[in-house]
Amino acid sequence: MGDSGLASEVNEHQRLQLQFQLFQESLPKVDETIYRMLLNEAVPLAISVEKSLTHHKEDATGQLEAELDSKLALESQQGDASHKLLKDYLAADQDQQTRIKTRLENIGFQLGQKLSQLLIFSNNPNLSFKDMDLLSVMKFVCRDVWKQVFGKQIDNLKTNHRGTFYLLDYNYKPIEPFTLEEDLSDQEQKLIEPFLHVPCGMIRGVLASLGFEKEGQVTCQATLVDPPDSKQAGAGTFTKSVSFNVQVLVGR
Amino acid sequence: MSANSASISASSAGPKKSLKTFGDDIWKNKTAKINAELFTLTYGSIVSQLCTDFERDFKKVNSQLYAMGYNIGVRLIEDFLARTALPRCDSLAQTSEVISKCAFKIFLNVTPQVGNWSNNKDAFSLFLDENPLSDFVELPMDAAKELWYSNILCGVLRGALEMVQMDCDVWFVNDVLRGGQSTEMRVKLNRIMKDEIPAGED
Amino acid sequence: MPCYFAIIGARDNPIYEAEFTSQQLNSFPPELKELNPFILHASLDIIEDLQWQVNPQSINSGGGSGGFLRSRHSNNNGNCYLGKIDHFYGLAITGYLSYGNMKFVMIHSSNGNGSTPAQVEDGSVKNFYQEVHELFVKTLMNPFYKLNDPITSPVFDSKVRTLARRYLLK
Repeated sequence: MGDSGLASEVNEHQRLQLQFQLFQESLPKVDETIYRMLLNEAVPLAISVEKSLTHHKEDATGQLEAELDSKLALESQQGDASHKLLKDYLAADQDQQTRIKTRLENIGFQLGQKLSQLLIFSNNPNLSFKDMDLLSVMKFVCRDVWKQVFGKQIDNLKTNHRGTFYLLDYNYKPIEPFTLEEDLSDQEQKLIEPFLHVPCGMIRGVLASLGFEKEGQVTCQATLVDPPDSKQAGAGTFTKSVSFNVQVLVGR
Repeated sequence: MSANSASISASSAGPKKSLKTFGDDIWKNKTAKINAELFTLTYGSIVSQLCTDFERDFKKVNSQLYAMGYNIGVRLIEDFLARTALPRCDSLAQTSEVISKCAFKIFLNVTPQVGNWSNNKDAFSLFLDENPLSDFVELPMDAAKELWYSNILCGVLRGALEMVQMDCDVWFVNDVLRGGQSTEMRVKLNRIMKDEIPAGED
Repeated sequence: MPCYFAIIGARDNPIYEAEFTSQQLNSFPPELKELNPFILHASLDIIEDLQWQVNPQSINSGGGSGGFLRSRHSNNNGNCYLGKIDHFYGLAITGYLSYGNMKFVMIHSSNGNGSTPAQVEDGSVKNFYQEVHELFVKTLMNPFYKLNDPITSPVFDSKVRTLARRYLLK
């Protein structure tokens, strides 16, 4: 495994990069907070959808009970609160959890697929036909896609140059607001899981839109990891480092 | 109609700087921003997934979007109040101006027109000339009759207003995506809640 | 001159097809019309070969407000245009490649009865392709459109035809 050196590209490229950045800054904007909330709220939403769908399949008596329930519930019209939905996730069975994660992956996939087209269409100096190989596509994910979506680049990209990549984000934004202690309980670990599935889908979506689109060709798994010592700030706080392991089958 | 409401706001905002300048200033100087098209695409991916999940039962999609918005709204209001430090509104007219010139401005960088006041001033409309949620969107035939594509906004407003003790109904009455002349959201105040335990604090 | 235009998806599936004709000009003779899809398909191989030879131009990034797509200065896609890639009995075939590997191809027929070979005006044809490309990316941004599905939007169709009138059927 060698460090592929994200930062070590040279001047002419940097100039174009800067131009591109200026161009991006001139584009229409919305508030970042609301975007973060929207993205994170996809998780409770996916759980809520699952509840609603499983509930739908129940028999008539179940329906009746549920109707009664909802009449008694204070906020029946608003659906369940986000934190309650997250608790429901823990209580859900394996199949349901899988479906919830798939749902989130799908959202990420579509986002990635479309976002990459938009980024490439707009004068992006980081990608050109000539070197649209897997490594440059991954660098595109680490730099451009991550920067767009999470406001920062991937901190470290490692590869064996044979289709295995580790994308390390030492401060994964979506879980930044979570107040968690070090030594996560199993439950807390589990709660964070669904928040990692949107970017997994997104990575696959970007790759698919750039030619790595065969069924099962790309897999992506995310895990919480310990950051390198240098990055570890105050002890006792949860560090929010995530490793995205991307496997791409490249048949030549 | 909208000209009328603008004059209301001018008088109620009175001696202070106008709400518009105030909102513009916060947007310009106190707001971290991201690309609007990314926001559009993300919301689009969510809506599209919901349509798949509910097998194009758009009524269910509407209510999920509403519920999602509600959950955002009840928390977003904190952020809004923290950033603006605005005092309680004296009237619904003032509320409508704050929503349009501050809330929409700060979060989405658009300023919907306020208008269509009901006779007893308990309901008004927000006209969204621009809607960053729905750029690029073209509704398929089957969705054009039933889907309120931006329904999340209704939930957000409902949730946020509830947290400041205003019990409101919020719904879309028209959307250019559905071939309408304008995109119009209706806000109706049912009552001001007093001395109640805020929702969500079980 | 009448033209036959198609967008071919990443799996070599046509996702949009259109024939551009105008009243004054001849349309395709029926026997040729049926052949159009086959001629286009044959040219896909040539495009794939060309794909790996294209040299990216240096990029002139422009400022301008509006979204990525509204940027009138996106010149980067200049290298997507492949020019005339093939010919077939007096017909000329041009091609254009999008970054997502979508192929845009067009058959240009000559004005007359086929005695003079079709001429391709690179400038306007290139403009046509670039603007269709932009429309295509916009279509892609529609959450209800799935990549590689046929484009059924009447809005897209009418906009493409407007572009054809502006650039091709002068």
